[in-house]
Amino acid sequence: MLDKIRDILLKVEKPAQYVGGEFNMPNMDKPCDTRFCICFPDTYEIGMSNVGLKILYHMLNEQEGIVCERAYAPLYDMAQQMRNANLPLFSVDTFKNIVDFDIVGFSIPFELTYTNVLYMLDLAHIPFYAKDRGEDFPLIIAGGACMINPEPIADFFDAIMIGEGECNLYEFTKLYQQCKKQGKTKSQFLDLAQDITGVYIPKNYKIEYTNDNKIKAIEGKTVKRAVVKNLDTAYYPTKILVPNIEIVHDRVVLELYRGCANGCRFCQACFYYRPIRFRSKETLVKYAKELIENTGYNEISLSSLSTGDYKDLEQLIAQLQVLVKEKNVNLALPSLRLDTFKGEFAENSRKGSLTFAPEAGTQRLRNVINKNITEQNVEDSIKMAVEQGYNGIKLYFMLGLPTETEADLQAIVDMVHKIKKISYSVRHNNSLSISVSTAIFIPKPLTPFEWEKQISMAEMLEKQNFLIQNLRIKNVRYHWHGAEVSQIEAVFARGNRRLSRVIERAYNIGCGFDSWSEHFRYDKWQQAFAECNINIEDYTRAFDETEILPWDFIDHGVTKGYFLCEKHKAYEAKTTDSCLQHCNGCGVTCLGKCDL
Amino acid sequence: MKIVVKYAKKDSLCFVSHIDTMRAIMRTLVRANLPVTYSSAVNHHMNLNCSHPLPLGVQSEAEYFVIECEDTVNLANVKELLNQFSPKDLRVIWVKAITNKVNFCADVVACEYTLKGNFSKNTQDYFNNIKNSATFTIEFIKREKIISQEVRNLIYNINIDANEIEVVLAIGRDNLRPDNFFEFINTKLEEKLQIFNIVKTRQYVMQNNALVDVESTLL
Repeated sequence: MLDKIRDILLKVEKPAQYVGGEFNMPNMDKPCDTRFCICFPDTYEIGMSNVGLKILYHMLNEQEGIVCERAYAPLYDMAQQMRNANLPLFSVDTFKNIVDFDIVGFSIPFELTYTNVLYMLDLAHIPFYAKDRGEDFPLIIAGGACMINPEPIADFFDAIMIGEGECNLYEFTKLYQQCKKQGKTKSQFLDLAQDITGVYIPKNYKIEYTNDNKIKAIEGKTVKRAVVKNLDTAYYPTKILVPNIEIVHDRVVLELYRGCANGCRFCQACFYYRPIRFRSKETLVKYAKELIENTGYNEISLSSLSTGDYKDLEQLIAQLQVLVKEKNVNLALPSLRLDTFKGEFAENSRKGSLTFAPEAGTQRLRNVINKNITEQNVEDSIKMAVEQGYNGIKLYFMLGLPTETEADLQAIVDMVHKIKKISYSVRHNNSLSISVSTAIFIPKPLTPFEWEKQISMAEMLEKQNFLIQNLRIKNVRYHWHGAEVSQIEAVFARGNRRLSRVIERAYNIGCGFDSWSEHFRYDKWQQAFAECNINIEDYTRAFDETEILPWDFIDHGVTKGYFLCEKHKAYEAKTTDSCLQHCNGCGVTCLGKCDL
Repeated sequence: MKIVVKYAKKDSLCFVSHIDTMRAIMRTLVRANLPVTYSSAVNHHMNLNCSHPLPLGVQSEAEYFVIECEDTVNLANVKELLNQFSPKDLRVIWVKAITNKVNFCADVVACEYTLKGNFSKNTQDYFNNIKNSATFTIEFIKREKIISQEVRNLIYNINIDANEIEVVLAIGRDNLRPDNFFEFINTKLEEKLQIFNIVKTRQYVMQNNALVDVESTLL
């Protein structure tokens, strides 16, 4: 196999991404009864940066009797060479054909990688639909952050892991080992697996639709999302793979906590990762030391949804600073909320540019989305950053939020002018560079805005044009996320099983790597929807509050009643306090306790 | 203490670029916890000096890097430590403390490359013809352009028999990349020579108009 691969490697870009050989690779020759392959539907450089994948890969390899390998989506030049050489998709660890594994698990980070799942199955010579795969094919399963609503791709998989893989994937593979020993069929195994918390077996569900593409009924048992009860004692690998080429996040990543206390009403991750669970600073410092020693990385980054809200952040940073000096490494601080950007953090981080996400221009709209920061917070933080010597400010906003008006857009422009004024008053020059980025609001499932509509393409372009015209200011750059790609993402975030045909059609006519602007083809997507007789607007429309939503069979913990209450508060521009102040009763405690 | 490390770069690692290999070496040194010295610049970096870049796909049994370590280091353990903490296809062959100044990039002017196989009479004749000719022009692609270059003066030596081809090619300011050389020859021969079977086996410096193995200059 390796000889065949070698023949083509010198004809492709970045060949090192296909040959593994990383330091800290687990023993692939240990005795095993189950061979698992984790597939990531994007490139090696992106997949190797994924913390969840690192956890699952090492966790499975430490399990007795299981060997876990990896495969990533090859770039198009490699895929072409593989097809020419009749070489099927292989794992990068031992160059084994994907079809020869017992279980192939896709970790799906977001909706725009759906066509890449089919791309990888195609390269592996595996039929797309679960119903077309007999006992000769491996079990094809999925998991990952995007499985909040797995319905658009449910038909492709034998099983889908809902929630945190540390729990359900462990039990799933244990059960598989037992069933394999007992000679059970795939179908017999899946019937047993559906009793594991967080395991969804799509073939056991029946969905009925109305004539206007709404869901009439879902027949099947409720799937409860799996969550890790105690994050501090949960598995976290410290002997991780060290890639031989530079990857997107080429550093030690310390996951501080899961969940978010702030409850921004557009934010899916905030609710999906609840209950809020912290790792203790002692555990984190221990992990940091072990990770630096085991990898040789020269940078540590702190990861969470809002690092500034970590309860012992100051002590943690103080302890990490000792390690940083001792080991000659750097410390990077991402994801700071404006109201948590305090002097000590500003002093202790590097003086490049700072990123803030006010998300909306006016206080009214920030109240609607429950982004609990004030105009004063913005001004104070910017002043502090400028005084500390930062050279650039990056600001993130959303366009098309519920109740947004032109005044809210104008307020973004006004905020930029105000920042320039603050900077000038401190530095007496215009050297501060400001970068403004906007994304289009996507009404994602598992948020208070899940019933909202997404604005039309014409409105998206109109709003972007307003900012293009009005942000022509010296040292200010405006970036915007594509309207078309946001619309497709919204459709698949909120879609039902009828969309699997669209994904298949889109792949067959040339879609793939849709999150890469150079590969995204809106015209092909439109063609795929048209050929499948499906209206895009059926999925971007406002959903009725009483309507059955495609993901309603999943119990994510946070109740629908809570989301509805939050939605109604949004329309009154009323805010909800952070969970750090008091429990807001979202309902997630039925899955586990919040560490607050 | 200045230490020279000779290492082999093989199999999966021969597809890793020079800059990524340097990064892998630096990480190996950190993992091995060797007391390597750092520069005193604002963005401080490890004091590390490496050989010339190896083209992608070419293997090597004669790569070198030089580091400076605090004198407390126990040289007897360094080879074992480095091998314990290196990626699997980077193997340290030996380590040596030196006192003279060595700069592999500036001093090395030629490298020996070996290719093992079963070579036909035609192939042997072709290589012997190059050896006996006064000129030899190759063509290769650089930045999507076809470049034609006279390279006979960049070929120091050629030895070929039925099982081995050994060539010594210039490197550095006057450079003949082994992949370009063998790929061009592949266009002329029926028999195809595999680029990933080329192994760099020796590096030379020029002393008194003669090529001398760089290892003999390390004091």
